[in-house]
Amino acid sequence: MAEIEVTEHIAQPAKPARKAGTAWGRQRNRTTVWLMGLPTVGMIVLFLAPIMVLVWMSFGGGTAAPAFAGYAALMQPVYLRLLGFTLQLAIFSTIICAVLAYPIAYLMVNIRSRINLWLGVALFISLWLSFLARTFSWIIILQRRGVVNNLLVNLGLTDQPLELVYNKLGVYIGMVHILLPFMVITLVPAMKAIDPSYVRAGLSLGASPAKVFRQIYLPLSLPGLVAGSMLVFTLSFGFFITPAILGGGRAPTIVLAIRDQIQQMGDLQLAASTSIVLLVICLALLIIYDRVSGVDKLYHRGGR
Amino acid sequence: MELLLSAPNRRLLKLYAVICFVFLSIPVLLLVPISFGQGNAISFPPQKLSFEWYTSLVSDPRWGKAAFLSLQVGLLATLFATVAGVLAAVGIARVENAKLAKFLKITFIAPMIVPLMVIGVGLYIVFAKLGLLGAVWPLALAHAIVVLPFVVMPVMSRLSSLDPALERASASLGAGQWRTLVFVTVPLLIPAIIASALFVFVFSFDEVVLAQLLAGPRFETLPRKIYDSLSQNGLDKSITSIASIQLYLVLACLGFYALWQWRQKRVASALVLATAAAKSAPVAPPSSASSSVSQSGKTLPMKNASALAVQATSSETTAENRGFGIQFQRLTKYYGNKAVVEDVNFSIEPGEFLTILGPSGSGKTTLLMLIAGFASPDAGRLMLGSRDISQVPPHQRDIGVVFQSYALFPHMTVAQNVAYPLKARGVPKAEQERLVKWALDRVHMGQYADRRIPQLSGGQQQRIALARSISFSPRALLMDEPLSALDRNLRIEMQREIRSLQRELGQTVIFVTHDQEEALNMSDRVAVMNEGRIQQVATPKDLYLSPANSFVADFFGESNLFRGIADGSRLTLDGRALPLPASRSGQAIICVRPEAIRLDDVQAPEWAFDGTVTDARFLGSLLRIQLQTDLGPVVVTRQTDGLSVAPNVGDVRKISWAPAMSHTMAD
Repeated sequence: MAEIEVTEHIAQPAKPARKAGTAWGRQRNRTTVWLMGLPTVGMIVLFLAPIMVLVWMSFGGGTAAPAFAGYAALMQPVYLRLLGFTLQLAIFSTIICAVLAYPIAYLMVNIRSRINLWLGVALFISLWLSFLARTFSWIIILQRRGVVNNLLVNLGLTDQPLELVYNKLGVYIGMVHILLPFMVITLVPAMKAIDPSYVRAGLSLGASPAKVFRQIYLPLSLPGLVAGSMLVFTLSFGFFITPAILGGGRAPTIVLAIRDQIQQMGDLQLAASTSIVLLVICLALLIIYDRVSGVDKLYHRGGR
Repeated sequence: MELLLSAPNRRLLKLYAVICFVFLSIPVLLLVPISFGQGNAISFPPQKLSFEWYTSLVSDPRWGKAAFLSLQVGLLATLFATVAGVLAAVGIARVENAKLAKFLKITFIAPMIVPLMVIGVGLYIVFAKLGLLGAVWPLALAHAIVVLPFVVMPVMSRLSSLDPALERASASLGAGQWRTLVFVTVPLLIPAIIASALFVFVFSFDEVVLAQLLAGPRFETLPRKIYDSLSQNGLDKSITSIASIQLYLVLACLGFYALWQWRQKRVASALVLATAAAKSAPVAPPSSASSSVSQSGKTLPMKNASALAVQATSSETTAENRGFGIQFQRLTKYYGNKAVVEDVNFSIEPGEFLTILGPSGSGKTTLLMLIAGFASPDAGRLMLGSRDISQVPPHQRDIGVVFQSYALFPHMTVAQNVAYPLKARGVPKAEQERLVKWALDRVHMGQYADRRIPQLSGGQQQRIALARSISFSPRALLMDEPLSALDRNLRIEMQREIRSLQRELGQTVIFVTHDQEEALNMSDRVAVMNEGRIQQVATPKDLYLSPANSFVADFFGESNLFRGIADGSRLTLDGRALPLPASRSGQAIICVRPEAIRLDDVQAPEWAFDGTVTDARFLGSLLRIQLQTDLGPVVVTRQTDGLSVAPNVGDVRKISWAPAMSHTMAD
């Protein structure tokens, strides 16, 4: 009997009390609302509103043009090829970066070596030095009478200077150089978060080093790899400078096309439609990433 | 971790790293020698050295103008993005609704995912309509919004690595929301904020796409000018000198950072040495320490009374008894549908040392959070003195809390930590200093005032946490398993010190622990808690001799329990009858403590029963014998006196006890 009485007594005030929350909780929430005010307004005015305008414009907003003219024009093979190449560039750059970065990150995290410091400095400088300067530097190195070709010709390895830049090869080299540091800095914290005792436990239980790596280390570092790939893919997908300069017109991406649509063709509707297509692709990617790994993880070090 | 690679593979990996290093750095480093080459020809190595490409930068006003414009845009963008990003990061981290938090996280990451050109076109259309093209601040705002995720993400990640107890500690010490943000949260985020601010600046200073779209024809930022000269005029050699200057700046930053780190390290190691020296010269031998405590104890409460007058917090307090009483009135707290604290109903006397003892998950920490104000009861009331504080926010409760992780603010010195609650209450400066000194002296840490927290050992941090929570003369002191991280000897020393400090200050202390020895050593009374309910509140002696139920009997010391049906003077179970110490009837349990059991007593009563020894262990001052009987296993302990001989496994002994030494309780 006593039990029942007690629960009745509690059950009554429980509901409203829970709704009101703690005084501490209420104050906390009020502060949170104040904190979020400025960033939210910024996001709405500078990000969401322009995208809404883009959508509106892509359907011919405010002009006499037919609503789907922009999207119809996009179905031309030219644009499909551009989109295809852009995707290909982004995917391959991401894969190359992942493959190149993983051993570097592994070395920096797991093996004591003097090279770590040098790698750290190189990554730091690469991240903080202008994209333009680095791209320019690749022209100097790779052009017909550039550093590499001079060396090869002087050594007698080739008679003809090789075509290293102003084509897709040049773009890939430049892209990887610029994106590699992003991949490494995402991977390093993710690997640092792996407790070395997992590896020791694996070895002590009799698994071979290769097996331990495959079955323990790799799966544990995978979230970092996925997060880094996500970052590199989106960066390379929208990348402008390197394809424009190192491609020399022979590696046109969809982003360059948008620029031309505005500056040369003056066709805002087409530019808006193209932008919306890119936007949809990127958002789809974001949703897939969220399903696979959880967007929240991007906010922890290295997608842990 | 080197284990996974054999030595040759490791060498291979290092070789690969060297190649990567060359790949990463050569293009960057190449620019420097070329920038010093004479003439228009780009050659490496340069034939003739000259500074002409640097002087031309200065003499050509267009470069200067572009650089100045970029600098303006960059600084503005950095300001916008850093402020908004930090606010957003701190804000999102505080959102409790999981769905909303996730939505916000996705929203604030979106500018990173969406290509620059897409946002650029959108902003171009909007800005063109509003006539904002070609102005500095719209471009800066555009830069700020696209780079915002690169501020929000690192700041949030740093935030999530901080101890959540820090924020609670700040509140329990009397700081409101904003004070906590300004003095605790943001200072701890500074490394992440600086790093992301630099990233924003570098990004904005280097950004071409938005600058091309959003700037008018005569509005030329530096990267745009570089880009144009790259794509149109062939290769302008000025770029090499500009890039070199950027490189010098980055290297200078790196150099400063390295120097700063090195100095920090040196300061730290010097302090470690000093600490070691201080340790080797005994700070205060225990005896003199305790005597100094009792001496100063006579004068200090008086001084402190004046501090109380300043705070005007309590009129009920007296010098000898400053703690307040706490009353739980049917306090209940649900998480979801589960009651984690249920119908807690007892009171704590002013100046009492009460321990809440219970296994993990028994709700004791939740109860503590209810008292501190970080959770609010779903039913019932909580009274501090004569005031209902159930709905008072933590920073207005004047209750000191010592957290399990100590939650000392790592960016402040010891003295600043201890002064924090005083500052929050607006105590005058001179008074602050006096109280800080007073509190530090109470815990014998007077000479550590200027130390930084990371330089202290666990025991020292524990003392500082204690000093911090008493410096503002709280109405009660809560301690959440404060000694669990210390080793045994230090723990016992701290137990003694906390106890003597509590007596001296007349402080009401609520001490949470799962260690029954700790509870025995320290408490006036112990509240045993299990499954959200208070099982019994009693002095350690009563708890031991007359536990209220089988849980208390088992949890608090070892016991032998015999469950049966009582009819008057005997308890029947399994066809046997055991004597009851007092007459009762119905379902009952007899509890006999291990030391009360007699083995092979010459005057054994006729109800005595046989047990076979299954284990006998020597535990220092005790001999612990385990027997198997018809009534289940029985544990017996004996004082050892050097002569006692442990029985052999398999020996049969007669088990009995004096009925008066046993205790009955309801099932």
